[in-house]
Amino acid sequence: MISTDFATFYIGGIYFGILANDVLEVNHDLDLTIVPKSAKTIRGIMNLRGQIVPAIDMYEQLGLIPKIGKTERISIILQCEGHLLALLVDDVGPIIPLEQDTFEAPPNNFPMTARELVLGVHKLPEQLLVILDKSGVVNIL
Amino acid sequence: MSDDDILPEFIIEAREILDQLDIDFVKLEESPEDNKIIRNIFRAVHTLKGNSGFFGFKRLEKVCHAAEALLGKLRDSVIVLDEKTTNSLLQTLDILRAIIEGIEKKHTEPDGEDGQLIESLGLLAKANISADKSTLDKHVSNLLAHPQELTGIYSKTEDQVEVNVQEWHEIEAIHPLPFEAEEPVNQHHDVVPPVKVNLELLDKLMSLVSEMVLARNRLLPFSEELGNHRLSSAIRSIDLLTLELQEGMLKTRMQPISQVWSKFPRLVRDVAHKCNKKVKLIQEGTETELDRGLLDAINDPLVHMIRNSIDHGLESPAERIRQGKSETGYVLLKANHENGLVVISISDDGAGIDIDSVRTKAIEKKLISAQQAQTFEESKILDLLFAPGFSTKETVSDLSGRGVGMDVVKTNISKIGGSIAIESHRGKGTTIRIKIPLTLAIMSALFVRSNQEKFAIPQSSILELVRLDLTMGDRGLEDFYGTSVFRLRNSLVPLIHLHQQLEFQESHPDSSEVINIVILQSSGVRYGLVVDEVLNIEEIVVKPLGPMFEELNDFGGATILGDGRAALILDIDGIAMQSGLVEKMQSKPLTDQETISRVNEEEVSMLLFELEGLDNLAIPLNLVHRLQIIRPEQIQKNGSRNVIQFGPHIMELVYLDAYVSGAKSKKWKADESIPVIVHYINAIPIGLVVSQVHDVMNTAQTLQEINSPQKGLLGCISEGNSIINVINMDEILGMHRMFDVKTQYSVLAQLSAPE
Repeated sequence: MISTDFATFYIGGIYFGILANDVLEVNHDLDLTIVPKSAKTIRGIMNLRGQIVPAIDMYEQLGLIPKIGKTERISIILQCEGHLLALLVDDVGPIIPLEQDTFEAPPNNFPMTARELVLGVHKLPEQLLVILDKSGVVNIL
Repeated sequence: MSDDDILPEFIIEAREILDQLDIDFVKLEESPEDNKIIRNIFRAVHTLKGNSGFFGFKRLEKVCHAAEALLGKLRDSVIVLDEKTTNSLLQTLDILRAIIEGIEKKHTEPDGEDGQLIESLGLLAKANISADKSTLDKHVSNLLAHPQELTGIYSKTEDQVEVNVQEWHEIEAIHPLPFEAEEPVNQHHDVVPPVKVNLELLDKLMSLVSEMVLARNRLLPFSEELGNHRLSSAIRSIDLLTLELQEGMLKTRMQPISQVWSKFPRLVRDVAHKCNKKVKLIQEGTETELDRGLLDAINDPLVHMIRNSIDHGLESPAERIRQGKSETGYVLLKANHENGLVVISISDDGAGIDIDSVRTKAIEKKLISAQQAQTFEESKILDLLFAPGFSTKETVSDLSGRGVGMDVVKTNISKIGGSIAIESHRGKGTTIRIKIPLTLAIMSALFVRSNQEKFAIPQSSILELVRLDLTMGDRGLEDFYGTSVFRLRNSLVPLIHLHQQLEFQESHPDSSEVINIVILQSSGVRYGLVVDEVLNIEEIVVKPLGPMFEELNDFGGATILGDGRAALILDIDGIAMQSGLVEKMQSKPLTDQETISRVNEEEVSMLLFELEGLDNLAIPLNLVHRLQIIRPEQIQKNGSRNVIQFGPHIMELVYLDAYVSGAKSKKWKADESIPVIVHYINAIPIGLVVSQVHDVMNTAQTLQEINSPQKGLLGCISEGNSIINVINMDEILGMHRMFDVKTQYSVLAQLSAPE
């Protein structure tokens, strides 16, 4: 069985994963500059070694309601189609190799806004890992 | 290496060959006797043919072959070049170019029928022979002058001439013929060929270097802070290396302007033919270098303007003779560097622009009112040529005036941070001057604050900065048909509030006491942008915002500040469009006749003073708090500033002669008293040092603005026989502040002069 590496992270207490190959790097405390009149799902822009990177508000993107306000300080930098973008998350977990047999399509009662972003769920021994679709994150923007 | 890898190289080389051919053909037409040029052309076509054969581009090969055959005859002087032949060969070039472009797009040859062209090339190669005996005879006599070489070279039959090319060249080698001998081909043996580098890679390196400069800027303060000698010296090395790296990197992207200009001789020839005019193109400063990206950006505007010059500017040969001018008109292209800008001018010695017809047309198109038309100066009328939708030519010609006019040219130039000005003398000609920055990558920008955020405004679009202090009795903002306006001297300037435009929460109510306005020239309209605070001028590196922000018209990009944060760059045109101001201004131009007359009646008090070299200067008396005479020994230093004790305050001295155009810097003697005009800004005194203070004058005269404004001067008042120059305090203090602000970047002190 071939296993695939997933980078894991937390947003609003939910455990998420994304293909580790898509992740360029993880950064802490990058300064954000607000872009007036931009989409609600874009929190602003950040400077990553001279490149301007849009920062995605994952709470907005996934339709989650923050319990104690948004305090994400970690950005996961993805590379998509030649552009960089940053997902703002609360915390990061380890990179874990997973095999196909624990994977399941998203349940039917999943909220519609999130369904386009979610590939499915890995059933881990202790909890569920929600796998995000990179192209979904990009498309919705 | 597969075909796919080398195909781009083939295309690049083919393009280079075609560009060179364009130049050579025009040269050849000027001096058809020049065998060297023909040989160059022949060789180039031959190379192209060979390359095409290698890639199996049959169509290209066939056309090249036919052209080569004709060129061969020309080279061997079997036929002479006439206009028909030149036209056919140029037509061939166009077809070759079209094929190459097709290959570039689809990687295969585009379909097309060239039979006719090939046939006509073939006919030309034959037709010319009989008519050409005289030329031949000339060559024969040349050869006869060197009889020892003649035997066996030349053979001549009834209707066919064959020259043994090989031996012909040998003769040339031994015995230079009266026409110029071929130069040695391999003369550049010791020159290392340049390396071709991918533009993307260069851009990436460029951006990294720019970032490195900013990173260095962050490092610099530590050098002093930590006081560690070894660290300081390491930082200094990094500082120097970075500087050199940046300069070197900028140079790699610099290309001589001849890259773009090389296509123009052909263009001029074609346009001149179509218009039946005789035109000579003169190019000066072809070695002037500018950024690769800019070169691409100026190409279209220049083509448009050259066409204009020939089509609209120059008169027909008959008309020119009637005017006592030479039959051939000239178009002069000139490029040079000036104060860190590249200045390109296009001049012609044609008829010049008919100011009256421009005026009439502008009224017709409702760009100005009939009343304004009378009061506008010539330069202002000429500026109307750049207004959207303006075209003076009655008929839409094939060459210029395709509905897109000078406004598009202007928009394109301002997009790259440039400016454009036009100057015309009736009967003598027209000159259009473009000023563009050396490089796209770095530009200077003014930072402003709105709602606690910093924004950058490209300096090229800033006309001036205005600070309204309502507590000091300045007139406030007014409402003009629903548009907030501000009275700037004699004209009304519509305002846009940046915090409203960007949909911030109302942070700065209009009732505040001080209003900062940045007067901007966008491509459609002049307007004032109200900001919370005017900060400093910095050189910035422009970064694209990326596809996620495409719908946002308010921003032209982003940049990275010294502290590593990103900041947005305002798009001046975009904001004007978005706010609806452009439409509003076009439907209801701001005319304010009644204001002007009222200003006329007002009497103003002015304090007259002089600077070294400038006698009649004046400052409005309401800006003068008091006059003070100081002794040189009172002056003390605060860093690089001169200050004096003034009551409870430390008063900074501003030497006016440094900021007013035409004034010479005065050397004060040790025992001389120094007159100082005390001016208050926000309850802080500033001492304006002048050479001498005269008296106070009351005048009812209107201030007249002179174009283009002089540094530090607002305009003139005529009083009796003399002309009084009124200084522009806002501008002077603005300039002074720019000098004074210590930023981590090099601060550009000079506010861009309004064009």
